[in-house]
Amino acid sequence: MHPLVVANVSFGFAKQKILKNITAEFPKGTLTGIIGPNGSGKSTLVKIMSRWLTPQSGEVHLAGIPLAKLSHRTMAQHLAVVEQESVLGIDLTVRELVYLGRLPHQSLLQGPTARDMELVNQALGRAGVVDLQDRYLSTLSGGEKQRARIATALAQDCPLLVLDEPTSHLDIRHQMDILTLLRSLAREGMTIIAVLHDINLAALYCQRLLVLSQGELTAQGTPAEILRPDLIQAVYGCQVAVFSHPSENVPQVSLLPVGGRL
Amino acid sequence: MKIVDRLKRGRLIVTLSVVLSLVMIAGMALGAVDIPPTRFWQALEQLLFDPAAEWDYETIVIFRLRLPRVILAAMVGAGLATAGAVLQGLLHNGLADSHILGVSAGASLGAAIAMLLGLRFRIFGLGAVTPMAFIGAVLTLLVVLLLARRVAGRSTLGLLLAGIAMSSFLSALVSLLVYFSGNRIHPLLFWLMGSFAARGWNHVLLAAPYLVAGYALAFFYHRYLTAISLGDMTAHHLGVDVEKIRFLLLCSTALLTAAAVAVSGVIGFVGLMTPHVARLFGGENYRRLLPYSALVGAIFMTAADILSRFLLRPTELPVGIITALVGGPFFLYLLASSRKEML
Repeated sequence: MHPLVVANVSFGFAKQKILKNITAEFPKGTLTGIIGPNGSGKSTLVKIMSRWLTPQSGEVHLAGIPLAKLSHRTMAQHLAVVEQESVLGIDLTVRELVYLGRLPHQSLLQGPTARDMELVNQALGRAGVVDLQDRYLSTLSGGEKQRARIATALAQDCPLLVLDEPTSHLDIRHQMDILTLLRSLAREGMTIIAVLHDINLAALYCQRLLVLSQGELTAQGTPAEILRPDLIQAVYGCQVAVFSHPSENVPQVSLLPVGGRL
Repeated sequence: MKIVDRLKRGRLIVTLSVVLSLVMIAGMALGAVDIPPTRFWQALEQLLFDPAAEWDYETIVIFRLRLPRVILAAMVGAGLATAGAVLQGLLHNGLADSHILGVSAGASLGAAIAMLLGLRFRIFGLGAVTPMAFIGAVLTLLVVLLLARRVAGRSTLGLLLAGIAMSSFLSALVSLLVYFSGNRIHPLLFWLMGSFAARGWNHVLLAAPYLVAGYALAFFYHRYLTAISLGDMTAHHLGVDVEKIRFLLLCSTALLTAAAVAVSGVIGFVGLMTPHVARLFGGENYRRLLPYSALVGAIFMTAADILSRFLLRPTELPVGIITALVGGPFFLYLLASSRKEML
């Protein structure tokens, strides 16, 4: 049984359908990338997976159980979400933020246990923010903040991790750091779903890709199956050339300027 | 750099508690008649070891008048400050305070009705005004919470607007009563400015359970409150049932405000300002923000009460005037000296 299954999910308003009949499975231990143009419904799909939005029809199953049947707490014990970069309402230290990741595992009156502290320290270490743990979030750079958020999700100690554009606004070094981390977490058995903007990064790091276009799941498969000139042109409306990555056995794309020349 | 980075966090609670104790002792010593603190021991001795004896004048002043008054001021200050801190987090708005949900206006309406209709019943040793204010506050609270559930749904702005609309509506009713009240208007205006004058143990006993329950509820949920303050969606992802917890915590702030307003009238500014001062001390994590806010609120209110009876003695000023008169400039000073951290 797959850790997360999206079955026939549709979402939208009267005239405008944002998601149409999406069905997808996310196998254990894989890093799946969701790509697609702006407004194709990627973030909406993430919000439905995390039950922030309720689909009009269809269901999402977490370990075989429909999301609607789970309590908030149980959900957060199994599925951690790193939202698209957004302003946090208050200023905490990195450690305080990461400690909140333990919230779904704590009872109301219980203080931090040794296990909580161990997992917080582990999460800080994995995300590479140990040295930043006493800094306030307002003093961090974009990349540092993103790693702090990922550490919070790791402290949740969930088998599933969903990230909405975790690498946007980051330079290539920080993009690499984060995707390398996600890849190794997947190798250890976590199921990871990441909405990504950069097709080449997605092809380089993800084992599977889902392509959303105008609310429909246009294609899914390995990067080699997805990065085809005809498919990319149909989805994004631009001409690309596909070539092989110099050191990895994955395809990469390069834009061909309109009209053949700049 | 936050002040807390330079002060040990544990020590801050102790420091604030010591300051509160000193202010409370000063509150018992100062007033229309000054009583030296050394006299307290004598009075306490008399109370404990010779309870049958006639109390002398100073013992009466200390135990019947000053002690309940000082305790009430500290409790109300702590309650309003806690309510403000909780609401600012729940509504994602640093301008929210304990009066924003219309609870104070409801209490005012209850008090106005009691005074202007000349209600004379007594409950629990209290005149009609206090219980009527409490009833007004609780009824308003129920209406606003129902409205919030129906109208506002997930939107905090909707809740804020519902509270403000309710508040304006009830204030207009109070104004209407004032307009038709002729010469019975004076005590109502005084009540609306807030005061701890002539408050006794009855008032302490009436307010204490609600204030304690409201504070305890808020503190039990402090981690959830921190999560919600980060953002509703973030809290949702951390397993918080945001709508349920927000409803519970709104109940907590309403209890705090209703009890505070019923026994002391409408005292502005404390609920708005104190949490911001507490944030300068200890950051924004509610684990520290709640106790710090409560302590700072208690200190500020007790000190304001001392000033209210000291400045023009033997007459008293309404304490609500003092809180805004002293608190306003102080707050502006803090704002100017640490702009970046507060906004």
